Amino acid sequence: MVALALVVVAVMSPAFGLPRLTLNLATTICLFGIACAGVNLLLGFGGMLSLGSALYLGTSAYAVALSTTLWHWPMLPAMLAAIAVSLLIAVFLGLVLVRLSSHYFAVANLGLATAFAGLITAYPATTGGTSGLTTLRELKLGFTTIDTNLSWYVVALVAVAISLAVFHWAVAGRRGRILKLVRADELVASVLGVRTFGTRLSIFVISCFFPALAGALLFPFQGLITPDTVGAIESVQLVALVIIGGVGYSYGSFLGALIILWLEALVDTSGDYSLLVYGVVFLLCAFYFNGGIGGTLARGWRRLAARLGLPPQRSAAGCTPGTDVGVDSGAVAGEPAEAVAPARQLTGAALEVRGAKRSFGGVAAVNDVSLTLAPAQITALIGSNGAGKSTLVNLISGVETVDSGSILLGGRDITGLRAAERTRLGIARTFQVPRLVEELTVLDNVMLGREAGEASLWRRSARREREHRAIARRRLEAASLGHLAERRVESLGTGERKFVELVRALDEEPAVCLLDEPAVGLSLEEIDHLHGWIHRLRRAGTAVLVIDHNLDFVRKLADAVYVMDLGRIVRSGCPDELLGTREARAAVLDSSKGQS
Amino acid sequence: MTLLLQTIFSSLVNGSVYALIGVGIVLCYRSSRIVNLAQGETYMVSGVLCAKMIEWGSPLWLSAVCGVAAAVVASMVFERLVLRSRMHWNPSRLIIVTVGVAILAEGVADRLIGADQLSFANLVNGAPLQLDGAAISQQDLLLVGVTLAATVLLILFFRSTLLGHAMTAVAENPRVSQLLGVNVGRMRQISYGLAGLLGGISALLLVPQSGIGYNVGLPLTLNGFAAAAFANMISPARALGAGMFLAVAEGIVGSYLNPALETPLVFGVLLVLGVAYLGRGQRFAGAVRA
Repeated sequence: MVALALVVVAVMSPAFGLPRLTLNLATTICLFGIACAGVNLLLGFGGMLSLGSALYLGTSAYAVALSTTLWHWPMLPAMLAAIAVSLLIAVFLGLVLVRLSSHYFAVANLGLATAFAGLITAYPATTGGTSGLTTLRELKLGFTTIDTNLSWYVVALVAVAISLAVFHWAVAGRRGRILKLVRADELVASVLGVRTFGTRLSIFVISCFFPALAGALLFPFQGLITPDTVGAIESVQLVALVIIGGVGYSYGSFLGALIILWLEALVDTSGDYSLLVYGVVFLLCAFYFNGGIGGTLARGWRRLAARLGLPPQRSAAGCTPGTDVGVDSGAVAGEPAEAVAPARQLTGAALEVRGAKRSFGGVAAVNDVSLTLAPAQITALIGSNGAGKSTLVNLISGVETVDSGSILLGGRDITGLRAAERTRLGIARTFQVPRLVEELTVLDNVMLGREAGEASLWRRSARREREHRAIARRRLEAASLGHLAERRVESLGTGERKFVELVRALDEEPAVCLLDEPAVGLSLEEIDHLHGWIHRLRRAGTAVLVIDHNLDFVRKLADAVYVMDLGRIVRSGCPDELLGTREARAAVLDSSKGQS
Repeated sequence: MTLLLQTIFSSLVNGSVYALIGVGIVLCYRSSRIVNLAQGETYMVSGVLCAKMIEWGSPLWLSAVCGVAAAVVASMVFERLVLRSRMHWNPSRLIIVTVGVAILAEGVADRLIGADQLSFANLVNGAPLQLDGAAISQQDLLLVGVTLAATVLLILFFRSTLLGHAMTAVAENPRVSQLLGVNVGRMRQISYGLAGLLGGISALLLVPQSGIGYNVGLPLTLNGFAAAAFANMISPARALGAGMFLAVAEGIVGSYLNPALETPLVFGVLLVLGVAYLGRGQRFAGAVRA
């Protein structure tokens, strides 16, 4: 990362000798690159497209401008205060904004930026209106004064270093994985125990730090701030810079700013053709650089590294796979049983559903269902398609809420809790179609099972992360999936995905585990394997609920069986009784198909 | 009362343009899931060509027809040459492609007409309509009427023709529609054509009073995008409503409070409304079974 930062600095250096890349332009590029880093973080890791990030640049720049010109504050404290004020504004706006879904989020930000620019022009007496506010181009630091082009460039480079550090801090290790999880699939994130609202708010506020920093520097550097710099068009341009530079790469925003701003300066020389040339090059960048210039460079680097036989680089995760293997290879051999940790202790019935009801429109998908899951017992739920089995699992895991009835975990009423809270209390689940983060490796996905439910997004220790990695790897190896650990999920087949999702659920060390059709799509061999796994879960004391269509599988596996039809439990009992004889099976099949 | 009426009259004109561009963006989004930030350029193409042709001495009707035709063709060519082969791209990258096309269009127009503002005469002349002391010119009335008519026609088209149903199906779920035999590519082509038509027509009606330069596209697009976004990018009727509401609210704030406050206040209110009502409850959007 340090090397990368150096490369960025070197390339952007005016000393590099690019035509028309003056010190001033290089400084401007640095500042806009910093502002863009916020857009980059929010879009690349938060999955939120903001068309209004110039707002925070504006609040910060105008806060500096007003406090220095109106109240005659010295520049440096004014800048720090301005960044703080902008972050505060970001917190308040964020409380509202991050609740919005994608289009509304984009347009609300766009509207706020326009509105802010309008507000500035509305009070020309204070803000200077459209002509803006001016100041001397100097920054007194105590030991020295920044007033030459070169010294401004140095200040900008320091700011770039700070923003790169903040960027990497924000997406390092566990945090980056959780952010990617929330971005890829908010539902799964909350099922795994992530408090999605808090996570989105945090990433939003952190992303606002970057434009705030840029804005605070921009005013004294330019000696001028106008509403044009903070409005909607500017915001859209910031987004464009990021996408051209490469979303999700920390240096992407700087590359984008370098290319586009330098290009603008360059085509300025072509007089009347400048806009045309700019348009053509802009479009060519958009056409031919997949994942932006940063993405193209990263791919090229990977290919080069592969050819030279270098080990593949890990993205921002902090530790290399090699060291992990060293940590846990000793532990693996002797104790495969440790692959499933003992379940959290719950007294009496692990989980109890009492009279749960849920209707969609006029259809009662789950109608007055009661069932009990005991610790160290495998309960199966069977029934035809549309019987309400998956809805019941959704109700228990908190993905959907019951209309009436209650759900108790170890005697505690959890009916009112959200999915994330229920997970933190010990309910884990899998999905019919596995839902994993495609862009992460198998190992990262498994680690998320445990990490997502941990207390704070911001507490992170390298040691704990190493431990988690070792445990996750051990679990994968115990499931004979060790060879997949470094593969990205997008390259896996269905059966492999099912097992990875299962291992992820186990990594949460749940008291109650809900498996939604775990055997569908698996080969016979894989089903045997799955069988063994579920038994191990039981031995560890977990209460397991399995939904399946495969009656043989259910009969061999389950300790108790419920049969569901049209939203109701129509039969229950032990599997041999219900499924042991041909006649009994026929009766079950009849009762579950009776009315459909 | 006069002030209120006058405010509403002049706001309706702005609202019509917001709505026409917004509906165009909605049409593009429905058919391709792309936020088309080049939509405002259809307005520019039509307005500039029409103004230039009149300058060269062609009759108004011919210039108008050519202008609108050019906008339609430009929009369809954009879909065919730029977007069609790239539909599988990441949406954010495609948005940037549309921005690139918008900049390119502005660059070409800049070369052709320079920085001058162009304009041409009203399509319809005659005494303004008077109502309780407030006046609205016939051209403005035409603009508002055309906007309403175009949206109503679109809604009828989507509701009651087979082609309209097919387009709605594509908007709901492109893959399933394709499996059911709808030619998704053709629906997209038609949608972009219609969007171009709306952009072109709005230029004919608005340019006589506001003039046109090479760089009018992007700001217009952003206003239209606001209207489209509050229609959740899917419903033309709601885009019309949102565009009109946006403009009238701006106008009322401008007339009664402070003209400079109109945008801040209106967006503030819209934001609150958006949070309270629009953006709610579509987080998981029924994708649980996947």
